[in-house]
Amino acid sequence: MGFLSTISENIQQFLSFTGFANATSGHIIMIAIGLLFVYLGIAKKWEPMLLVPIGFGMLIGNIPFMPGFQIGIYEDGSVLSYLYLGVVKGFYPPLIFLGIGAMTDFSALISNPKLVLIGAAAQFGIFGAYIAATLLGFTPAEAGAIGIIGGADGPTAIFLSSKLAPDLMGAIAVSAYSYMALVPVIQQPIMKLLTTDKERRIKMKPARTCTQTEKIIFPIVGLLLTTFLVPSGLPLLGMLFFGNLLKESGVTRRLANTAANSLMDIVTILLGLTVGASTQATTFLTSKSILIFGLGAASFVIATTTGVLFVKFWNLFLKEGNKINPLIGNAGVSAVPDAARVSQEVGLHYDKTNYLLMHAMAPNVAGVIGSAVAAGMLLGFLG
Amino acid sequence: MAKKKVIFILLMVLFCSYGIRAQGLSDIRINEILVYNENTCVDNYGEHCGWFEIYNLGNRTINIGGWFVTNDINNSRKYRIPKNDPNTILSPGERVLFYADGESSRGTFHVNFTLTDTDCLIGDSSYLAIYDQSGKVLVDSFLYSLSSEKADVSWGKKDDEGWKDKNAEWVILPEPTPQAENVKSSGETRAEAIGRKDPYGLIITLTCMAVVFIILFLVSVVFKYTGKYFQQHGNKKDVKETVKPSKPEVEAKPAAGGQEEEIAAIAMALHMYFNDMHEVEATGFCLNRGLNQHSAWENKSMIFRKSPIQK
Repeated sequence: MGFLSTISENIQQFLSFTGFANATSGHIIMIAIGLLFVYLGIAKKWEPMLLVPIGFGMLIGNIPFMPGFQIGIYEDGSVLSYLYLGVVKGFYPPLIFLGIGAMTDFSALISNPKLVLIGAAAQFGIFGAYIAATLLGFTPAEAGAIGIIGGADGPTAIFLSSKLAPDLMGAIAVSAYSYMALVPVIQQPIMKLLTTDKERRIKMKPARTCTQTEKIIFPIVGLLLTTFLVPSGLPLLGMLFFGNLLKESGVTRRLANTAANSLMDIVTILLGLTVGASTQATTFLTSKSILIFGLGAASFVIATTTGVLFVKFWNLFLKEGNKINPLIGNAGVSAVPDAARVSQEVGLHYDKTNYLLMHAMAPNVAGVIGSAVAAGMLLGFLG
Repeated sequence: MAKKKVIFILLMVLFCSYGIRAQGLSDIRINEILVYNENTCVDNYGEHCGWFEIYNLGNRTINIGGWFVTNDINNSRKYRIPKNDPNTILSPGERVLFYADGESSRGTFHVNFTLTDTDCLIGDSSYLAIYDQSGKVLVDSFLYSLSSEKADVSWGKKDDEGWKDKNAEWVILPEPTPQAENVKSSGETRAEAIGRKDPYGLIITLTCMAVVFIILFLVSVVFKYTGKYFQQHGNKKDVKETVKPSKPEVEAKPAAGGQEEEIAAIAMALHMYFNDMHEVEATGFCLNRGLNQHSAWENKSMIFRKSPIQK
């Protein structure tokens, strides 16, 4: 009898440890969202590099378990908590920026530097969301962390939210990456709504070819200019320009290749997976998260709108023949190269010979710099 | 003259070493103490016991290994902090917690006395002190009345915001803060002050956008003129490399092996593209010309020594 009762107790204890015994409706909802992300990434090919790791991370983070066994991402000493340190301490985002720098060709920006200002205009998305968040009752620090979603830059959003509002980081990161994946869906209707048929057919002069020396000078001067004015942006901007120098110097090809490929892939995997896993139902399914998603969408809309309207306004002062196609205004958000690709697609839709991609790349990469500067400013004020 | 120099140098060395030593001592303080611990932090054995916090408020790393802590004014060497534990090396701003459970065998941070000992009282007061490695120089001390101590209420040194003072005032902390800052500043944080002055975020928006525009405008101006300079004075090598290959080279050189295929592939791709015959692709394509991009590190001819030739 004693033997059987011991077995029965053991089985009961085992069952109490299983996910089935500990599942809540929140876990089921988050697992469903995770599966949706994985589906969108694989079947629809919407930013699979981001949505697949984040979606699968959501599954990992929402498997129900009994607390106290150092399993969960928020439990001290668990393996996941160590992997998550890169997000909490903010060292994954600068590594991602190193890779972005090593991958990005800034020649479009160097050869037509005036288009850089479009990248500045689109940063209104960040501050539009900041104002909206303060009106909705978020603290200034939380509002700053939410606003950065409008920068359309996942690593920057994670970096800033880990400093200003760590408890909202999961929602902010997922929101930022989700909307980056949805850039084509969000931006196209706004671009079409705000432009006339004539404007969409504006053909821009081809940019000049820039020299290797200019490309080498760019990251050095860019670093000095931006970080002397906003030192708080140093972790992101420093790594971005360093990565770019590795690429353009021509003598560190192996380092550039590693930064742009292997290192970037490793950090993307860790970042995506842990950000996804950080969305545990208990911390993620709150009314604040829903508001953050709403504000994130608003920030993308504002960023796209201000980018396009800024170009239209600028065109009022430009002579015929020098005018800028407002369809590249959306590219000021720093979702590289998706936003520029949207400009190209919409442009080609109206004129099959109008290639806007390289023109759009200038505000697009300027947006990366602009959002990092904006993040540095917010960190300086609110950190 | 040489003698004077030697004496001067020796005096300077002595002066500096005294200064360093003095600075190290003055940077360590007893930061917080909880006598009756019922519900605050537990030690690494899961037990609640009285604790005290030592804090490095200076700007350099200090090793308190070999120093002494005591609750007996007549025995400054009561508990010697083990010397070879890396956890006793305190970085600037670092705190370390000592558990006063009388069980020094449990580890470096378990001292051999408790904070409730009554055999070392000074009048009605209990005593806690930290001494340097000689056991003679008092680094910091604290007197407290055992009878008036309450459970889970600690004593801590209260600093002004951004300013740490060894002789800061001791205050009662209803919420103990082991290994954390003792008293949060009663003043507003920077973010709160901004929230009060700019409740709708308009000022911060204008300020930040102005800065973003200025920075990107500067980038734009710098590279506008850099571009102009390079267009006018750019070295020929650069232009030759990046603008276009010289015409005679193309005409004179017949297409090398494989180049015809490239041209045909590009022509076919363009034809398909303009006639909507192309497949929908997530990315573009490029033709790798297979240039040797190896650096010296991976170049076998640079790594391996050539076999000696026998004559």
